[in-house]
Amino acid sequence: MNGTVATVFIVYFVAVFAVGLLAGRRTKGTTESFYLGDRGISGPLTALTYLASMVSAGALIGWTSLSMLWGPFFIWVAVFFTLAIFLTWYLLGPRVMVLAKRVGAVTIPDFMHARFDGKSPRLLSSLILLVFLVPLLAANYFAAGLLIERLTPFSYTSGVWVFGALVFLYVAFGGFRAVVWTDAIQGLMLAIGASILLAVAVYEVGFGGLGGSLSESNPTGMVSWPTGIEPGSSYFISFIMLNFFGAFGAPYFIVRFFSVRNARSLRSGFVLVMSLVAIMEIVVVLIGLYARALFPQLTEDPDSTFLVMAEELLPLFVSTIVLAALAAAMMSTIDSILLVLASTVENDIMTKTFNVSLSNHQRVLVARGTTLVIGVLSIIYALNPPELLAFLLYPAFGVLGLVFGLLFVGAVYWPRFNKPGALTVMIVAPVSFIVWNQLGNPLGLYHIQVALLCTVPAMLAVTYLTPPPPARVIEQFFPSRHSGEPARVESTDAQ
Amino acid sequence: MPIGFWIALVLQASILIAAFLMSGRFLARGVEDEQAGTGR
Repeated sequence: MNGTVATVFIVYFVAVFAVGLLAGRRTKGTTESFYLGDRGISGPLTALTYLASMVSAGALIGWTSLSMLWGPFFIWVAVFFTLAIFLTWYLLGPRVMVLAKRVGAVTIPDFMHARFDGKSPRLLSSLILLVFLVPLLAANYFAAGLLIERLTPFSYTSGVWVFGALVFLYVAFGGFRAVVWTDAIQGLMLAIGASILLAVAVYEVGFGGLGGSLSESNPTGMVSWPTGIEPGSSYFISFIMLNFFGAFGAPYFIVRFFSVRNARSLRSGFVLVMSLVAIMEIVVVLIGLYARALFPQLTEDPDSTFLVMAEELLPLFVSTIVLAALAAAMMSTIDSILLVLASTVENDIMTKTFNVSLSNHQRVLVARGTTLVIGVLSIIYALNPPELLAFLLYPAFGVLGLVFGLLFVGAVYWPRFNKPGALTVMIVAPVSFIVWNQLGNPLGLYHIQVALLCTVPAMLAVTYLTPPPPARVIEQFFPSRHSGEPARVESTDAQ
Repeated sequence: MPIGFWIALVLQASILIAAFLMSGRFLARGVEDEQAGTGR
């Protein structure tokens, strides 16, 4: 690593860090300000942060390598992923934004408490978040450490600690506003960087030459579906489902709707996020395909697909910025998860379950302390991953998406959905997922398929066999239905 | 490139076009929910 590269890398991180601290200066000493930016975040800003949290290690490292291995058919995963984002914004966005504001929910467990009327939905959803988000956090630290080790003079261990310290500082002092602004910049940088990379690859191979180059590099693997992942195969369906539910129900995505200013702003965000996601997913898939055409030897080390493409195709200065943005994107996934975890521990477990009486200022201090403790624990996990981490990591993405996807759709569209039904989802989905995974996914069925097959009937049965939610909950969450008249749209210019 | 690739590409473009076409309805839903929430 020469001096110029080191300078670019350091300047980039310092700039992102400074933006986080500057944005965070507007954070007031209240939990609503710290966790949700006073619910004043614009839709387009939310769209950019969404992109950054999504297109991190998972997409740029994982997806480019899978696209390189699977070939052109990997594009189907991108289609279902985009569909999931469309549905989560269209179905959940406006309603969750309004309802969270109406019931004063600051966190997801707050929302569950208000909708399902009790402490147990709050506590159980908090526990699910803690158990399954910490491994995701540790996995992101792990990926960031590997990247830093490869690109900078830092060792893996010191890289993870420096990285963790930077994230802690701007999340702890800047709160949600810091997370949103740093994520937005990183989302833009990644989108621009990946697009430049693709443009250079197209220039190298030729626009119409991709199919020919792919067949040349692997005549048997690129003209038919790769063996074992044909459409309709159980593996392919479960992979699509994991990505679909992971995108649809991820709690650190849904909580972003709590903070959006109003419906008009959310609409701008919807158009922007769909444009960015639809285009970026295809860009990522194409980078993988061009990598296969340009560097067929990458099949030996698929995880380095994006890194090799950037290092080999871009000028040193540009590739350094793109790779720094990639590391920063991991940062943006980490900061989102960290804030959700801190709010869960402080708001839902300490303050509202165990009734620890603190002033607003003290609560923000506790949230900062929690960020530090969880950050350090996750780094220790990432440095010495225990067996439990591996045990939880694989199901984490699927379980979180399935549980919170079902809970939120039911909570805002199904008035009959009650507390026992919600608790059933929170228990049956994780247990069936993990048990089936531990059994080795027998009978040709995968964990997420079994979890869905067990959870939905159980949720329906328990909900209909138990009393409906109290009238005041229905009134609060479904006011038009309760009054018997649909709410009329008077103007499309409401602010 | 295989035909499956192009079909997926068309579907992806369709989702994007649907998002643009449905953004008006998206706003109306948001406004409707906001009005129901404030009792207007």
